[in-house]
Amino acid sequence: MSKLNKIARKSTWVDMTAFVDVSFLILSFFMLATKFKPPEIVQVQNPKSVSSENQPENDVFKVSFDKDGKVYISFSPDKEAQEKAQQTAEVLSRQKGLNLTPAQISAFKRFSVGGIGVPVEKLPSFLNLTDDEFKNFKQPGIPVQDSVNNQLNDYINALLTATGGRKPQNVMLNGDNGTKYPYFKNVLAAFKKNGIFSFKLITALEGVPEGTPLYKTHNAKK
Amino acid sequence: MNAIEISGSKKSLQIDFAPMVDLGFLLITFFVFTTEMSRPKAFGLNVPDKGNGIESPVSATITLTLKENGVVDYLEGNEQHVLAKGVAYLYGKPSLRDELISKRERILKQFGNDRQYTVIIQPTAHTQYKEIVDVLDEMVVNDIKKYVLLD
Repeated sequence: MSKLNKIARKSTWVDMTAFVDVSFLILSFFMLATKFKPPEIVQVQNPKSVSSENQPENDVFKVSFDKDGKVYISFSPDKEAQEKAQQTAEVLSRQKGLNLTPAQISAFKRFSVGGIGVPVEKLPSFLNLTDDEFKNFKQPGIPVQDSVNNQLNDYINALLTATGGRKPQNVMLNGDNGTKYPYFKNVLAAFKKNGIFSFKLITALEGVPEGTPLYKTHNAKK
Repeated sequence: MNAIEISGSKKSLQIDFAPMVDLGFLLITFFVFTTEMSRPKAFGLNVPDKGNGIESPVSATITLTLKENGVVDYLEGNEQHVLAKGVAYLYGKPSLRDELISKRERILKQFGNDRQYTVIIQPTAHTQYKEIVDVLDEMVVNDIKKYVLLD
């Protein structure tokens, strides 16, 4: 009996050191190789493309449209873009007679990282929300449906006025797979009207298909 | 003296690493859920300003009308001089890619180069954004230098 006990006790002891090594190795891999997900106010599923150019991170003005055609604008969280967000809010307030308070303008800056998608006239009440309320608030989207009331045009116009006509460096379009073309067209129309003709579409990476001219040039380089 | 030392040191060497493994994997799961591996990529798009039209020979032009669900009507030439027309599919057979490749071969035969190869992309109200990006991607993949997105 006592012999049996001894054997049983010995067999339960497993050396976990190697296990710890492995788990921390994987942990350090994930810490170094990945980046934190940005906050998601706008839910979009990006289409794929063969482009391997990395998305710029600084000084980004982004227009997102989800599959229901709701349009949002956002600025990247860096200093330069945030300054533009502030100026845009100030100009918009002046142009549209919104009389935004400094607190509301600073809310515009904060919300602009996640995405702002409300009609211009609803902006003051929207900017009174707290950060927690903002996260759960269902934004109706900036109206772009027709060319008469294309309010994205107002936002872009305010941005350009704020920067003295200088075009933003990185204009990104963040569209959902399922967005219907008319919404995309109206977004493009708002940009064209303001003299912006060059964009970057946000896409996910996809392999180059075999046997195509691009595939051949890629292989020739190697 | 000797016996005490041996037994004491033996005990302190045995550390149970199981909680540390637990902690390690807990952190791994945290990182797996809160981070992302691949950053989104940027795909450049330039749209034409009003007024500056493009000039290209009729026989080197192909117009793609995007219908629903990846169905593409193609028309070689123009409305007045239809050289060929038919249906191709973005996600099936006969594929749009094969059509674009065979068109290039015909242009190469006629002109000796493919500098004039022009693709006109015409989306419709039912076209989805994904299809537009896929068609634009097709232009990059097939190394087509002149293409235009109409609205």
